[in-house]
Amino acid sequence: MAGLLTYIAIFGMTAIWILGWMGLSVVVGSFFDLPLRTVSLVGATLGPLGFIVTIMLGILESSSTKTFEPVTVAIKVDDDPFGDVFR
Amino acid sequence: MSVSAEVRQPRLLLPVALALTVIRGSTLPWVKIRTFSGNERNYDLTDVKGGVAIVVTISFVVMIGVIVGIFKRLTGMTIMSLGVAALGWMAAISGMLLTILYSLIPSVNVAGLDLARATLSQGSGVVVTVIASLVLAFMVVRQLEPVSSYAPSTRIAALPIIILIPIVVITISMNAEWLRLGSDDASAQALIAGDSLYGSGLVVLGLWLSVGLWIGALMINRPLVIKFACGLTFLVAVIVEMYALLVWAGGNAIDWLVPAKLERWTTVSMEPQLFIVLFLAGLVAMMSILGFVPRIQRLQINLGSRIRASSGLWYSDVAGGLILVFVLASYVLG
Repeated sequence: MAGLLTYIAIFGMTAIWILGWMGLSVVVGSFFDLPLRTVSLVGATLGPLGFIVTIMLGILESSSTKTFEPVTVAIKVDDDPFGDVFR
Repeated sequence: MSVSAEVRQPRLLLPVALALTVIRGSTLPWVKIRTFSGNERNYDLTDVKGGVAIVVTISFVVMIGVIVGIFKRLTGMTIMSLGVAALGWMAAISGMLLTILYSLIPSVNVAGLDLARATLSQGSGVVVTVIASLVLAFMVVRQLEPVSSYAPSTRIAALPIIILIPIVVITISMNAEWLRLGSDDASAQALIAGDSLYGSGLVVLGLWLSVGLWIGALMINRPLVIKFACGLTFLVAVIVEMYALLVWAGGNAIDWLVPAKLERWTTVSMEPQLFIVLFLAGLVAMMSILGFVPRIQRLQINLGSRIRASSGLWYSDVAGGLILVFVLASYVLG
């Protein structure tokens, strides 16, 4: 009986620890718009370290200059969007 | 599965080896109690009631992770990592709680022993368990966006490796004896470990945090992470250096200044670990300052290829194989 209680207590404590740090990392990660899956795994597996890593990732992501792929839109010059209406 | 999809996946041997290392770490000493009669008692997870069941449960989770990992590599590694992270945190929390508690309230009772007549410190199992679980966790995390965009591919930063080695040695030496107090009748002998000194539990916590940050700096190769790790490491290294200096000076002061010695303690001897910490803490503090220099931060080790060496060997498989050999050897020799 004592063994079972210790088992539950140790796993319970560890679960609270892991979920607690995961929750904190998710809150901080959502502030920086980081992907939820990454942030929850970082918090769950790395604990307090994951929390620090999330903050640093957030700072790195928000400070990095975003580059966008150039999008080519083909427009026909003689295309009349209201052609069907006024025909 | 196409060849290109296979190439991008991490190899399975190293994560399995790390998971087995964590499980092996749970059967190594987590807590070390040194009584003043010169005896040393070690306690690991299996000494706790229900401890064997915990190890079996984690091993079962790791086994599921390995099976899943054969088909879906990252999912399997994540299951393994979460399982061993639980074990790693159990080691870290138990070690931290006990050493912090003891380093602030020395007259606490542990395992029926009055610690006013003994010293308490973390065992080698905590070091093995925590480091292996952190490395596995970072291996998983570096596969995910946006961490993967910061993770190095063919080159790794040199500074984290150079600093990690002395910090891990300091962390291990903190658990070892620094000072030995003996008496004439040879029945009483006090072994004073670095982490049994007043308030040193918090210093060990800082050391662990800086070990983790440097493993993180290996995985996230950015100056910000290195600067942060350098700042914390400098602070911790200076505090450890002060502790070591005070113990060295204090031990010598007792030896030189008190002719009749103190109570029944008649001999004071410094252990080699104290001098190792004295030297390495100074070195780490100096390297932490150098770490703020951009040129030092940019020093890198070229791995040639992330996938495999020119000889056809997979780097991660070689590392995993070596770790497995060590784990098996420790089972056979232990």
